[in-house]
Amino acid sequence: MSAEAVVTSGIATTLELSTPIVFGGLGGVLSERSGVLNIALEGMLLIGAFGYFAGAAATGSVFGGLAVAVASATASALLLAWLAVHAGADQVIAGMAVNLLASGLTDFLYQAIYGFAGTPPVPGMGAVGIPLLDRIPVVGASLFEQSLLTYVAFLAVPAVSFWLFRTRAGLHVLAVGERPEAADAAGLGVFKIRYLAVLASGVACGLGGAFILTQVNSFSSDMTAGVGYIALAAVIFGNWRPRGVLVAALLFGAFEALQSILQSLGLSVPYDLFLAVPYLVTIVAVSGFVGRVRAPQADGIPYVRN
Amino acid sequence: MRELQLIDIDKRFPPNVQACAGVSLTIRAGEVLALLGENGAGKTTLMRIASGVTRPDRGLILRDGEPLTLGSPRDAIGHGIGMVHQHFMLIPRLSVAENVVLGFEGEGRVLDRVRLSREVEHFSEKVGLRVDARRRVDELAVGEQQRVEIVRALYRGAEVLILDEPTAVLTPTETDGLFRVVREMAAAGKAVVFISHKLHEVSQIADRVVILRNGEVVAERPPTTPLGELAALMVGRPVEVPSRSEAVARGQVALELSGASSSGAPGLSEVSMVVGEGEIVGIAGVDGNGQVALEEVLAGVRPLSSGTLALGGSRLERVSPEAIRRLGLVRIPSERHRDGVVAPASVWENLLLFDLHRLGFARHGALRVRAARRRAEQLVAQYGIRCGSVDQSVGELSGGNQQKVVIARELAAEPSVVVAAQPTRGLDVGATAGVHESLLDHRARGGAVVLISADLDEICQLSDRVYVLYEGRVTGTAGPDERERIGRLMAGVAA
Ligand SMILES: Nc1ncnc2c1ncn2[C@@H]1O[C@H](COP(=O)(O)OP(=O)(O)OP(=O)(O)O)[C@@H](O)[C@H]1O
Ligand SMILES: [Mg+2]
Repeated sequence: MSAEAVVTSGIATTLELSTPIVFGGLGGVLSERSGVLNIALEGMLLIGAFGYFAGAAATGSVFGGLAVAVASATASALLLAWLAVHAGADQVIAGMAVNLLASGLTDFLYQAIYGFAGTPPVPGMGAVGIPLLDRIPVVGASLFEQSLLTYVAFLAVPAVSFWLFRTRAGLHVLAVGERPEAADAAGLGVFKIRYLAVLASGVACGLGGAFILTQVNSFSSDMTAGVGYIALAAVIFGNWRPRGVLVAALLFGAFEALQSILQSLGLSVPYDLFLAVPYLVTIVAVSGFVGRVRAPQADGIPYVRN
Repeated sequence: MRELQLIDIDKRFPPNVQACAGVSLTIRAGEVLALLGENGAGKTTLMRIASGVTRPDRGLILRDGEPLTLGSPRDAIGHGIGMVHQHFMLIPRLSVAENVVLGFEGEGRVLDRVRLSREVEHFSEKVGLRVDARRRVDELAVGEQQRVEIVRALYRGAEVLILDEPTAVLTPTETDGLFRVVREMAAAGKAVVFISHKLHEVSQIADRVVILRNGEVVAERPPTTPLGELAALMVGRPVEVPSRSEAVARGQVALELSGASSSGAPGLSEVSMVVGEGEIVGIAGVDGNGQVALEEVLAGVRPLSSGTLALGGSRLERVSPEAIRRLGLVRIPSERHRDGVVAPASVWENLLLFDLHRLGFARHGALRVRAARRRAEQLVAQYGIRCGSVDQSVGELSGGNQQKVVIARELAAEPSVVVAAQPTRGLDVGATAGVHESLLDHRARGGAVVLISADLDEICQLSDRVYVLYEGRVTGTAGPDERERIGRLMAGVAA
């Protein structure tokens, strides 16, 4: 491979690997900024992936796949919201419950629906080139030859950031996530806002799951393989900010891309070590720069009125 | 609106605190109603019910005879009921402007923070309680936070405005400003409820005084009632105000600070002071003039950038909280909730927090729980702490009783120097008298007390000598009878 080709494929792979982390991370930011700890990103991504598979197989269309992906991931978010906001359950346990349920349920449904018939073909989402820009030397073909969902993910970052920090609705989310009793006293609907924020994280995970599936166009058991946990790490590393999530996702994506490039060049690298990088970096971010990252104050604490 | 009636309100907190027991109260338009009562009498609970924050177990709320359902604060806001909360309902990581306008941001989905900040600042100047709209609330001193909490309630505009201890941390000038606004509101036909433990304020501002005790209304009086009578009604028996008995033999120098400077906003600059055994030295000053820095320097929590601290005649080389405590200096912290108690822990754990080892209640890493609880029970009896049992968590006690826990713990360590910072803030007359008595007892036993207080009455009543702190410097010393002079020094006027 030429040096140019290595750079091009490195950037392209980084963006690909970052995309589901960005989706999951944005979902995590939305949910946790409202005060609902979201351990369930992994499960919601998995359900989104299965949803795309089932929807696209049934309708034969990409948009059918996307619709079912978003709907099913949002439904799982609804379950999380109900457990965490309504029932006041421990949010770590509620999130793990959703993850376990997602893993079991997608396996079961896959077996039940496609077990005998075999895997149907599903329409995928090929790369979409952006005219002109994709002809820029070296970076053009990597930056502007991506899946539609990758563009969506990267454009969603400034959009979510603007919404969270510049709009009235965003201010309400922040208020609820910092001190729900004060937000309540100010007349905000704490429960409603938390529900909607968690549902929004379901939408993001639906798109992220769909992206994961369209990378391979077939479903396999637990195919998200921990991306949701890496997204969770990106939320923390990114200090609960959309732009921070983007940086973290690119960093984690780049490390993984580097690993695969090294491997393709025939260099032997300890794969497991590379897998641990996101978590190690996050631990350093959390412990090394004390005070740099700080969770929303009410993150993970159910609100009970008296 | 002509009147808001609360009828037969009951509220019980688990397991068995009856905060309101059949309370009925009428709040009338055009008047200022003062609510008095001991710590834990149920004033806050009753008003939180009126503002929709807490749901009553039983009872009716009528607005001009029409029943209201207040399912949430939003409902109450809709009916024109606003409240300044004793425990501020502010969001620490948002700006002052965002806190003030939250839920009332006006038209438009996108926030125009510049416009909102300007609006909030204009408004705050108009009502005479200046706030810096751009700062984050968690950067503010407690007095500033109080101003924000008040400005917010006023900004929303209310037919019924409930003020729950709004003046506890305000300066006298700010209090005057607030009273002017309150009078204007009453004149404009609004109803105001005013809660305070400062009885002279009540007689100054109220049109009618209602007294609560143990969750019941026990009396209604005109504001001209003698303060002693109001105090007795609150507590249920006459309250004796302890006073400094003269002639405690002045002993050795117990504490000396020389040329001390520290960080802080403001920090200390070149502060020197001497405190002798058997005397109470008052540190007077308007809140935010270096009191927190002084308190923390003396407790060893905040390092000195220059200058020295000496205890019992020997200069401390390495200042640390442990070393200082070992040398016999204890602190009653001004931020009781943050530095004074571990709210979720039990009364006995809080009482013995620092002394488990010294008193032999911990052996080889294991607690001798039974013995420790017995010791705690003694302290509870000795200091008159009101709690269900020593196993109750401190967070559930009333403010006055939490403060008693702190004082009991610190004085039980048999200290030589007590640094008492704002020790009676938010406490009722009875609890205040109790704290004063403890400090005077310590003095009578030959102990030294540094009394840091923004309450000039308290300073003059207890101190043998007074230092005045202004912008982090000692600007003068005075005797306790030179009230006028102290007042001038506090205002930064050369005296
Ligand atoms: N959320 C709660 N849970 C349990 N007990 C509570 C709660 N809120 C108040 N209480 C108890 O109810 C009683 C009344 O408290 P409240 O705060 O209304 O008193 P208060 O008159 O406002 O006192 P203070 O002058 O100290 O502010 C107290 O015994 C208090 O400990
Ligand atoms: Mg109260």
